[in-house]
Amino acid sequence: MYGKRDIPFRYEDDTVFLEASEEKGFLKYRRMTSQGETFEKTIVTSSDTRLVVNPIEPVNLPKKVTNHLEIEFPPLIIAPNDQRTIHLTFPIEIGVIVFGNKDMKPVDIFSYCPQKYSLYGPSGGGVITKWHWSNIYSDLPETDRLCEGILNLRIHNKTNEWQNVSRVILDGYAMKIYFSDEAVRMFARMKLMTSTIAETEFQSVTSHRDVLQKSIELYHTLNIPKLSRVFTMEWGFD
Amino acid sequence: MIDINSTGILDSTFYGNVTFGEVLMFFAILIVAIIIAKFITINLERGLKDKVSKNHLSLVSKIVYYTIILIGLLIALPTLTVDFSGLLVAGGVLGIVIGFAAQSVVSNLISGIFLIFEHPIKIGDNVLIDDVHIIVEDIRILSTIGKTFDGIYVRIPNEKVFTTNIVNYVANTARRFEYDVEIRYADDADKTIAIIKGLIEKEPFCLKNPKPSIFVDQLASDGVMIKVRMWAPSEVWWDVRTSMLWHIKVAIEAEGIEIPFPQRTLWFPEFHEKTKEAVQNKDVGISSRHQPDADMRAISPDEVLSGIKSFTGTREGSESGNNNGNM
Repeated sequence: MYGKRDIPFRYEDDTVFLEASEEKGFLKYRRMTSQGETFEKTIVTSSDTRLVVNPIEPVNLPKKVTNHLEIEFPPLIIAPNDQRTIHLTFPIEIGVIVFGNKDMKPVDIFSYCPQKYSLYGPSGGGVITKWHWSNIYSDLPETDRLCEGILNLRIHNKTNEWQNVSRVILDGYAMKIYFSDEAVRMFARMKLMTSTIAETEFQSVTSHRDVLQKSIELYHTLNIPKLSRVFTMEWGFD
Repeated sequence: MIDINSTGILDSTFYGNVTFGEVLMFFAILIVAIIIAKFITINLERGLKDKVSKNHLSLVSKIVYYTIILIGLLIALPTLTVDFSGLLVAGGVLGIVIGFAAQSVVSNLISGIFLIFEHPIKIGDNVLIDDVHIIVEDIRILSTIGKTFDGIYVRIPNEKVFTTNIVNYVANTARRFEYDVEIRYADDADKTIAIIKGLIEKEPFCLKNPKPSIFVDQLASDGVMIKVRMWAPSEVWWDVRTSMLWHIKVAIEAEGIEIPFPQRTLWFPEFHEKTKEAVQNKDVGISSRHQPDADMRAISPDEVLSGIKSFTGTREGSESGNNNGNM
């Protein structure tokens, strides 16, 4: 499903049917699901248009109320000044983005995963997060690449104490998502600064460029300025 | 024929040493400053609309606008060559008069400035100010403009906004709401709680943390009262609140759990005595006469039903007997 698509374009699996074709002088995009949901949009353009279907920042559905992703996992204890890479899963939202006249616009966003939100921090001052539960994996787990991606998280305990970690909050503005034929991937780093404060940031992939293809970053396409590449978890990570 | 020498008019004295030309120049500079201020603020708002929040954009825009006007005024004033020292005495008296007259205006102005910098409310907030529930549309220098949920325009002086209690329903990130769900005593409260928990789990905007709270709150007169408390993002709070209650009702009824109607146990002492007699003597009659000294024992629904059955059975028997006799 993922990748650049010329029009006309058609994709079908057990749960979803996607189609983009010319009808009566207009470009029609159509999505139908096995539950009977139908979504249609008419695209008006006189230039050459292409569609890109790829995983996007999973913080848009069912309505955008936040740009933060929270992944909760079984508690782990990390030794002082130690670091370790773990693998977690994250939810996937699929974006259909139209390209033309040197600009792009998301036409449709959908997901195969259930959605859930949570609050990180106090109700006054905390942040709403898109919430996802994941197990911890030492190696790459097998996932359905249309529903769940794999987050490669390097946890670095910079304190002089053992620390309990059971959640990570990531900022959607700096999210970098890659996909291959096998899986959807993200790479991030989490530094435990004190017993209650941690910093998280995404990392770009420099190796495996031939295998991993970078997804279009939706928020960049919407021209929202990048505020910070580092998110500070100031209300704990336990 | 009148020869109008325009240069002469401009050079003629307006008051003191100030000519008409200088007055015109003063207003021309002010008008140019206003035009420039408008042009810059409009373009600023267009350019920053997607990048800066509406509240901050409004503040920046106002600061830029009034700064340009102030600069224009400072440039324009020397053209009047006003001897301000001469106006000091008159200005002092005038200042006192204006001070009294414009007391509320100045008070609103100062309150507006404090509101802009303290920002207890922002544009777009859902707030209760002095018992008026509005969505804030603009915070101006002298007043705050809002719209009620009926779409009615509301203007509240900033002094009132600043000095009165403000309830801001969306200032915090998340908000809690609750329902009372009543079920019959015959229904299983644990099962009901499990169904409601499942529904909350499925609803994306019912927050995972803080955790929802569902418990038996009261053994009420008509049924068991279950309290359901949950949190939702302030932005979508109302949508979730208005949809979840009906989902709960539909889901628990689908499992055979019912919401009870109001119930009262009724005491019919005469009815009880008569039905007892009817059961014993196979004859029944109901008196409407009140007997205060009668034994006021409560009768169970089963007793009432059996009494009614025996009563109607006797009546039907006697009626059918009469009918048969008439035939």
